[in-house]
This record gives sequence, structure tokens and C-alpha cells, in this order.
Amino acid sequence: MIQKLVKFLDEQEKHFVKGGKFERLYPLYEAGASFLFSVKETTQSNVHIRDSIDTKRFMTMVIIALTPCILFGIYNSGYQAHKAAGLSLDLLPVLITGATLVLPLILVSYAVGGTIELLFALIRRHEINEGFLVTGILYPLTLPATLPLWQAAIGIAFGVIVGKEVFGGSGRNFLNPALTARAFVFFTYPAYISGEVWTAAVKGKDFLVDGWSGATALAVAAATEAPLKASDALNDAGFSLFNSFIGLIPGSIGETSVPLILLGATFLIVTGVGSWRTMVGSVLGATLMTLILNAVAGPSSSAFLGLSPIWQMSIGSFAFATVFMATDPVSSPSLEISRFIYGFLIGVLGIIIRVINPAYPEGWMLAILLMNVFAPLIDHVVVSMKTKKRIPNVV
Amino acid sequence: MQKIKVRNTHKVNLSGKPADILKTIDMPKVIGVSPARLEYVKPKLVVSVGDNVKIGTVLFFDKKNESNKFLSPASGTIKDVVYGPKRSIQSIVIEADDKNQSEKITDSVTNDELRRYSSEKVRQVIQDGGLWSSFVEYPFGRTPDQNVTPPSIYVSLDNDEPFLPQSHMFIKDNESSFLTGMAALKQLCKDTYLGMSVNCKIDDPKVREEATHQIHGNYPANNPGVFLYYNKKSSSENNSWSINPQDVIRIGQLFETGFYPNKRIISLAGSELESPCYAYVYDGTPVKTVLDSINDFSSLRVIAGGVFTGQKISAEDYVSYRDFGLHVLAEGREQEFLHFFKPGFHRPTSSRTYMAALLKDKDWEMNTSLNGGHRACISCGTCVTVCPVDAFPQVIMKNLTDNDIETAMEQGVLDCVDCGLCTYVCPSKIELGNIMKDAKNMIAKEVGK
Repeated sequence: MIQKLVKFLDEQEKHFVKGGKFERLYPLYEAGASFLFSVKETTQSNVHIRDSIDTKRFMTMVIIALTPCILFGIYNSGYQAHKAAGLSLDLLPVLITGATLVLPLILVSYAVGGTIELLFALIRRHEINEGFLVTGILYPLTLPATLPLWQAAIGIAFGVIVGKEVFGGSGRNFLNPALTARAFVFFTYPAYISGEVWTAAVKGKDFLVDGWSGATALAVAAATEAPLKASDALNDAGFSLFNSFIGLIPGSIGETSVPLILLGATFLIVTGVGSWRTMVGSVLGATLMTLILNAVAGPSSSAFLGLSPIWQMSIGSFAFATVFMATDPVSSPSLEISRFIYGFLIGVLGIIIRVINPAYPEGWMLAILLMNVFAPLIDHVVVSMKTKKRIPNVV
Repeated sequence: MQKIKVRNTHKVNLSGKPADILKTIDMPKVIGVSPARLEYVKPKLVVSVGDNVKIGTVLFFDKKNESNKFLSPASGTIKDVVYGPKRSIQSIVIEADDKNQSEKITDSVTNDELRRYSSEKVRQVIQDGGLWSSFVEYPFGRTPDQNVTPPSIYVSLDNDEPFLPQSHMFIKDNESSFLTGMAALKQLCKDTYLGMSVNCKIDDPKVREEATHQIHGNYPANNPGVFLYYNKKSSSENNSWSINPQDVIRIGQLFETGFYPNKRIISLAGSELESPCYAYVYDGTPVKTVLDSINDFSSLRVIAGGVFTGQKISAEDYVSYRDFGLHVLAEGREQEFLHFFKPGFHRPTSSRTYMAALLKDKDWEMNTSLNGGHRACISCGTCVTVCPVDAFPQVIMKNLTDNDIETAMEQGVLDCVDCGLCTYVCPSKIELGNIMKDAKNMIAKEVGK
């Protein structure tokens, strides 16, 4: 059976290569054939042997690392919706509700973004890049489960076109396309992506249980007035530290569960696909900035300033952004030292935006996009410093 | 003995490693040399079809450097000159006779007499003896001009590339010639450095004593260019020369006997060979005579040299001037269904993305498959972690794509030793090594090399 398929694909190849009937559709053929089977292309000159890793494997690793978060995101979306509506919290009904909320978003993201990716590949006559497999899943995981599908579609279209294709496609983009897509939705349809949008009202707005606010932990913490402590306010609002850490709280689909994100982080670090330097840098930066804010917090300042680092890292999207967004290799700096600096600055900036700037409920999307812009500069400085140490070899 | 620890190296475990067995291959009836395979040499023929030649008769020389001569490895008659595209001289075929006559090139001298030779005299003998092309001048990898004095000469006894001859195999019984060769190099320039791998299996105390540096690290730590990079103190040493240790032995033999040395030890390696080993062959022996156990070459790739730096050659070719090994690999691989979702216990990788990474000591049977499609650089940074001369291949590649050669030079493109590790590890299958080599050739042309 599989041999037959190989043979069939081999026979079809002549139509797609130069001079064939469907020459323009070669990227489509290449994507399909190389998705099903490993390539048959061989090396032309030296180096005669090549490592088994390819970009497809590289990106597949990220998707495997994301799988627990996707599954938990589906569960938690259903769980929050059922809890708000006072419905059964049994596993199966919750999962079904969750799936009806989340899967359409993922499908729309893949379908719309994938089509655009394909169109650009056909026009530019290059192979379809596997990077989109990751962008297409990261983006819906940063959205609230209630986002209208058409907005999600416009968002991913913007992210792929402006975040990536106008600069020449995967590898040449300087912004993280998934975050560009999210930023577009965030600024274009603010009412649908911030505020009390995190819980799907499965039975309509009038059927919510009494006292359900739907606010996120971040909103609660930011609204706390001194001299109350933010952590007490969070506990009162139902966000125990344990719940916030485990992730059974309202929030973007994939961001809530810290343990599962850590699991993904471990996988990324073990396989070497995600940079541990970026992650460690970000954790250090966030911790340091939080401690500084804790130290300057006085009796009259906002209570959010006094929230401890462990709380700051458990609520909101810190963990997800650090592990899956900041480590995107294309929009990160390319050298190991610069990745540490880059991660550290993301940590510092993210906390500043989250805690101090009242206009934005969360800081990581903007912190990472900003540092994406600075990544080439960090690289430039590091490369120049390293270059100065070389014994010159010029003519 | 100083120690050099080379960072950023990589161990590639391949199957088909040659066993320490030396088989001798007799002088074949027909031998040949392949001028077209000498990079950067523009051959000018001196002989024509029907001429009688002896061992050591000049066959052709380099138009750009007339003292860079190439001599006949056999005595006999020129049977054919095969031309390739653009009238490049593909090969010169010689029908060998049994007379084994040799041209006398110089008086035979002992090691002590050699020490009294002037550097001009040593240079003259090496050039007349057809061994000038064994010198490589950095940074462009060309044969040096005839009158240049190098800042220093680097010799690395060992080679970690899979699979080139190991030093203990070719030094054995040639210790004195090697030392004579080293003495000749010392007449050529003040500073000669001899590097020896920490794993070197040579017993001879005199050879061990001769070594100035002990080198630690996997491939390509023992590349003479890497040795130079780690040892140089100032940019004046950038134009140093290197020479293969087997060529040092041949220079020694030239001085000891006065005749052109026409034999060499090559490694026969690769998983496609039944019994990989070493062979003591005459220069110019046809590949098919050496690899007589293989009947069908159609699905195989024959590489003259190692798997990283070697040349792809046809089975009709000959063991020519710069070849020290023949490596036979399977061409391509069977296509695998949904390979990227599988654990991959059989997929050798320097990364940790396949389970094969756990099998540290396994010898892998690799083939010429690209193992992936060509993609844009995703800045994964792997190439930077394997560059033995601490350059940033991906940064240099991007500068070169922008035609910013000055910046690429500042970042060390001329330090590149063409080891090919960056090309090997790249998940986007970018030909980083070739991009840098093209840039170096362009710079070389610019400065008239």
C-alpha cells in the first residue's frame, strides 16, 4: 500500500517539476509529498552526508510540546463555561463543550493562515515552510475561547501577511507571526479580547450563576486598592495560588496551566528546540523586576506592585509566552548569549507593562513584540564584541 | 608539548571504519591521473599521446605557477588524454610497462646533509620532485607561489574525518622518511608546528618527540587550519601553509632516494564495503582496481577523501594526486512514511530531536540523502555551536547574501577551514560551506590569487 503511494507520487512528480503541466503548483506537491514521505533528494557535492534533522522535525517537536496545553485548553474552556452556567462538571460534557469552543478557532487559524502561506509559496515559487504549523496553533491558544471566528480569521491573515510574508516569508520575518496576529485582534477588536470575555456563556448571558464575574486574575489583582493585599483579593475572588498554578481559571485558551507549560518547556529544552537561555533569562528578568516593584511598593501605591514573584508567574500568560512565544528561533536573536539578554529584557518589560501600565491588562505580547524588534540589535552588539576579539583575517 | 583544546567539535560515528589491515595492490597495467580534479590548478600539458614517460617525468604543470609540476607515477606510454567539458583535461591515461624506470630528480641525502641545504635548494628539489602542490597556503587553500616564504608551516598528524588514514598506519616503517621530511620543512621556514591528536597511536618515540602540540577534540580539531586558528598570535600568520603528513613522508622519501615517490596509503571505507581496510597503492591506480569487491556502482557514491570534504568521483576515475581515501556510500535512502512523527531510533543526528541521540556509541550507516528539504534559515543557531574557528556561519551567510563581504571577512569567513560541519548540521539544508567557499574564491580572485 505504502509502496504504491510512493510509486504514485513519483509518477506524479513529472507534472510538477520544471516543464510539467502543473509547474506552478510545485510547492503544493512538495508539501504533500514531503509531508507523507521523507525526501529522496541527495547531496550534490561535499558535504556528502547530512544530519537527520530537518525543519519539519524541528517544528513537530514544538507541536508535541504544545499538545498537553492544547488538551488542557479544551478542557478548561469547557470547564469555565460549565461552571459559569452552573452545568455539570463531569469530564465528558466539559470536554465536548470545550471542543466546540476551541477546535473551530484552531481550524480557522490553520485553514486561513495555511491558504495564505500556500498562495505566497505558489507566487514566489518556494517550498511551503513548516513554521506555519507552529504559528497556526500558537495563535488560537492565545485567544479567548469566545472570540468570533471571523475576527480570528482576520487576525491570522494579518499575522501571516504582515508579520511574515511581506518580509519574505519564514526565516526573514522579524516579528513573531502568532503574536502579530494576536496584537492585531487586540488593538482592532479590544472589546472581544480583553475585559470579561474569558468565559463562554453557553446558555446565554442571563443564565450565569450568581456572583460569577468572569474577570481574570490579572484584572482582580490590578483592581485591588491599597492597603488591601493583591494576593488576598485574588484568594477572595476564587483565585487560590494552587488553582492559578494548575490553571483552572479563566484566561486565554492555552495559557492557564503552568505545570503543563513546564512539561512542554522540559520537552523543548531536552530536544534542544527551544532555547533554555531565553526561558531562564525571562524568568530571571521577571523575578528581578517583580522584586524591585515589591521593594518600592508603599502603602499608597497600587496593591499590584506588592504581588510576589510566584503569584506573578502563576497568573496571566507569563509561562506560555516565555516558553512558546519568546523561544521562536526566527524572531529571537541567533546567538546564545544574545538569547539570554533577550529573554531577560522580555521578563523585565513584561512585568513593567503588566503591573505599571493601566492601559494593558497583560504585558507579554507587547514585551515580546518589542524585543523582537530589538533582537537584531542585540545580535549586532554581541557579534561585534565577539568579532573584536578575533585575530583579524582580512585582505 | 603544548595542549590545544578545540571547542565546538562534533563526533560523527559512521559504520564502515577501516580495520588496521594493510593490503598491497600491485602496479596495474593501466594507470591514470586526473588534472581536472585539482581545484585551482590550470593544467598545461607537457606530454602528448604516444610519448614514453618514466616515473617522475613531468606530465603537466600549472599555468599560473610553472614550478608547480605534476609528475608521472609510472613508467610507460601515454595512451590517452581524455578531455571533459570546456576542454578541461579529465584524465591522462598511461599504459605501464614492466621496466619501472625512474627519472633521477636529485642526489640522495641523509637527514644531516639535508640540514646544511639552503632553503632555496630545498624548495627547488620539492618543486622538481612534483611535490610543491602538497603545500596549501591559507586562507585561500591555494598552492603557494614558488618564491614565497611562509610565516609557519602546520602539520597535523591525525585526521578525525570519517574516514581518512590514521597516523599509526602510514607512519609505520616510514618514521625516518617522516623525520627527513620534517627536517626539509624546517629548512623552508623557521616555525614548523606538528600537531598530534591525544588519541594518536604512534609508538615511535622520535616521532612523538617531534610533535609540538597535543590536540584535544573531535572532528575537525586536527584540521591544520583549526590548528593554525588556535595557535596563531597575530594576523601575520594568516598566510601560513599546511601539508598532509603523508606528503611530509613523500618529501622525506624524495630526499632520501632522489626519486619521485609514487606510492601512498589510502583508506578504503564506508558501509558499502565488505571489509573496510587500508591499501598500499601506486598513485594513479584505477578506482575499480582498488575497489575490486564491488561489481555494481550504479547505486553507490564513491568519494575521494572523507565524507565531509571529499570529492564525488566516478568509478572510472583514478586514485589521483590529492587523494588519501576512498569512501563508498549508498546513494539516497528508501523513502519513509511520516518520518517526522516517529521516534527515530535509526536516524543519526547531532541534535536531540530523534531518539537516536540516546544511542551514543552506535556506529551509523549513513547515505547521501539530504534528509530534508531546502528551507530558509530559521536562526536555530546550531551551526554556531559546531564552528571550530568560532565564526558564526549563519550570520556570515546572511552578510554574504547581502554582498557585504567586508563584514563577512571581519567575522572570520577567511578563517573557515571548509570542514563542512555547519552544512552537515543545518536543519534547513543550507549549503553554508559552499556559500563561504564561493565567497573565499571571490575574494581570492579579487586579490589575484
